[in-house]
This record gives sequence, structure tokens and C-alpha cells, in this order.
Amino acid sequence: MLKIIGIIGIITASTLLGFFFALKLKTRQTRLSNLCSFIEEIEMRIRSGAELKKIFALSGKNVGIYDDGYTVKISPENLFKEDISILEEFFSGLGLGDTESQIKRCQVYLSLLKKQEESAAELVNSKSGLYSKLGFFAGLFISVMLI
Amino acid sequence: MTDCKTNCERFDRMLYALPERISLVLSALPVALKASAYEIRIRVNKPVCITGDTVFYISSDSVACTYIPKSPLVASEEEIKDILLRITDRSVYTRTAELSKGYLSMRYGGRAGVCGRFVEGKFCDTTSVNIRIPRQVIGSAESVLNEAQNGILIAGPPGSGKTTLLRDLVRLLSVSGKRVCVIDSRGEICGRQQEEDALDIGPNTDVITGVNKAKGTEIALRTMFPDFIAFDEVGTGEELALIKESFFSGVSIITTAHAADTRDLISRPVTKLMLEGFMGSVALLSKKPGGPIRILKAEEVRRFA
Repeated sequence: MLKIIGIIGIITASTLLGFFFALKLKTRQTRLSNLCSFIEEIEMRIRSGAELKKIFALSGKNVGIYDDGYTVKISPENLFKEDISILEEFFSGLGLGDTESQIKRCQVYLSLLKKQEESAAELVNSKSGLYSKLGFFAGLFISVMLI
Repeated sequence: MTDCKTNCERFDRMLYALPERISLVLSALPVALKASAYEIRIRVNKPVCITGDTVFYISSDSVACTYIPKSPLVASEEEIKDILLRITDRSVYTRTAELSKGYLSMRYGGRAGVCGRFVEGKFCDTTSVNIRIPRQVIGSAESVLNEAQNGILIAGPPGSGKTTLLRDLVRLLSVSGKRVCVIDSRGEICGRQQEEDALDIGPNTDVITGVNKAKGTEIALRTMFPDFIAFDEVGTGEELALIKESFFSGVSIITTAHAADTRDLISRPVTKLMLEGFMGSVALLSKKPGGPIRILKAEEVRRFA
């Protein structure tokens, strides 16, 4: 009896682990999509002459971007190193220049981030189902080995 | 007359614009130096200077020297960029009009002069920033108050305290019940009046900012019915034409001008016209801030022509 409970527990845990990794991929895709929208909003507000401080105060927290007025901090949750590197580069020079250069900056980094979003979507399509199934079969394999 | 504690606090407040590394060093400077400082000069890869009674070079361990110390506090190019971002709340693009004129208005009534490279009229690289610390010297204009009733021109070399004197004169007139309207194009005379510890410009003073002197004078004459109109540094013919209009509307003018001496005043077309037409008196400041003020009638100055 105990063995059966244990086997069910192992399979459940490993299946959940598989779902967790699949969910992380999906969450990354969603976060990148939100960050792209945030950069579009920044571009729009720069065009209208609004200060960046207000943009960060209104919308930054929703996408994990925090500005204390002097440095921009990016929450690394569910992002790859490459994503964070692009965002850090974008924010490091943001605000320093005339309106035209700032708009171009937004457009360039938006295109880079959209590519990351597209590759994230491909990963979700190709890998999320695999991780879920892998989790289940890994659990099954461990159970069999233990028996 | 000088409020040492208040001026020291004003110095500390201006440090908001500096990167943490530089700000920490400057905040640890002696109180006497901070109270007498009116400029913080930061240049790329050069020692940071404080201008007070003399020029002090600052070392990295917060010692002020009249010579360049062995380990000076030096600002990097990145730190200069950081200063611009801090002053503009990370939005340099909203202040390009000011930058093209070589300055940025700051919080607490300060002003940053900016030097660097212009390309096709647009400001590109910053090589130095000069942060002017606003100083309030309560009572400094008492000796010129009576002479100001028919309009007064406050003249002196750069850094002699013209704006400080103008500010106190506005305050004294306002306190005495006169309606004063200040055209503060660059926010240097009055600072941000919405702030809790704003510069004291008196209870009867109205401030117009964000417009040039010509437009500001027009608004003041048509809507605020002032007894006095005050502004810094009249420079153009258009501004002068409006000053004449306000004078003949019965409004007295208080303004400033760069001039080393009386001959300098007469040699400049705009100030010469003012003295020939509608300025009653001149307050001539000495080179050193807080030095003696020489008060002359306009006809006395005209004799130097």
C-alpha cells in the first residue's frame, strides 16, 4: 500500500515539475510580450513629451521594471540572460538625447525584444508539451527503478 | 545677514543631481565651505571644484584645497551623463530647448550651466556642468530699497550676486505691500514656489515662468496690475520695447545686467537706452559677492558716456 502511495507521489511530483518548467516558458513569453507593450508605451509618451519618471511610476511595476529616479532595476524573474542584457542596454541610455534619438532607440530595442518574444513562442510550442510528458515519464521511470 | 545653516542646507539639497560617489564626498565637506559656496563645477576627467570665496579643488577624502590635491575627486564621462539624467529626471529630451541655450533649470531654484559639443544646433556631448546654488541673503537689498521705487538696474560682473540682490529686493517690496510680478524665464529667481522650503520672495509676489520676458511682461501688464515688474538680464530689443511700455503704464522695473563698471553699462546699447529713458537708479555691485554696493542715479552714469 505504502509503495503504491509512494509511486503515485513520485509520478505526481515529477509530472508537476514538468508542468512547472513548461509554465516558466509560457510565463517568459507573456512577460516579454508585456515588456514589448511597455516599450511601445514609452515610445508613445516620449513622442508626446511626457517625462520618463511618470511612465515608470504608472506602468513600470506591472512589468517588473523599477525606477528609483536614478537607476532602473529589472526583475530577472522568468527572463533569460539575453533578455535581461537587451533590457539593461535599453534602459542604460534611455532619456539621454533628443526626442528623435529616443524614439529610434525604442524602435531598435523593441525589434530586438520582439525577436526574443518570437523565439520564446517557438520554445513554448516545441518544448512545453515535451516537458510535461518528460515529467510524467521521468516519474514513472524512477518509480520502476525503485520497485 | 547670511543664513549660514540655510545656505548649507541649500548646498546639500543640490547634491541630488550628483552621482552617489561624488555626492557622498561633497556632503562631508566643512559647513563653512558649504554655506559660502555658490557653484559646484564638474568637468570630465578633471578635479571637481567648489567656488566660494575662492576656488577649492576637492580631494576624494572630502578635503578642500586651493591647489590640486594628490588624489583629487574626478568625474568620469559616465558620471557627467548621469548628472544630466538626474537633473532632467531621466528625460533630457524634454529639456532640449534649455540645453540648446546651454543651461538646465534645477530643483530648489538652482541652475546648471552645461558645456559640450553641439552638432547642427543640437547638444550632443557634455564635458562640464556648473551647478549654481541659489542663495538667499535676507536683508541684502535694504540699502537699495528706497532707490528702487522708480526702477533700478542691478549691474555687476558675473558671480557678483545680482540675482541674489534682485531676489531680496523683490521680497522687501512685496513685504512692504507692493504688488510685484517676477518674470522668471529660467526659474532662477524664485525657484519652485510649490516646494515646502521655497525661496522667500514675499507674500505679495506673482511669478510667471516658462515664457520669455517680452511675453511675460505683456501678461503681467494685462492681467496682474503690478506695481513692480522684475526680471533677470534684459537682452533684446523686443524686451526693451515692452519695458518701455510698462514704464509708461506706471510700472517700475527692476532688472539686472552684466557690467564690470559704469563705462561698461554705457557702452552696451540696451543698458544705455534704459538709463537714458526710464531707469531711475543703478546699483553697481563689486566683483566679490557680499561686497559694497555703489548706488548711482541714472544721470550720474550718463556722464560717463
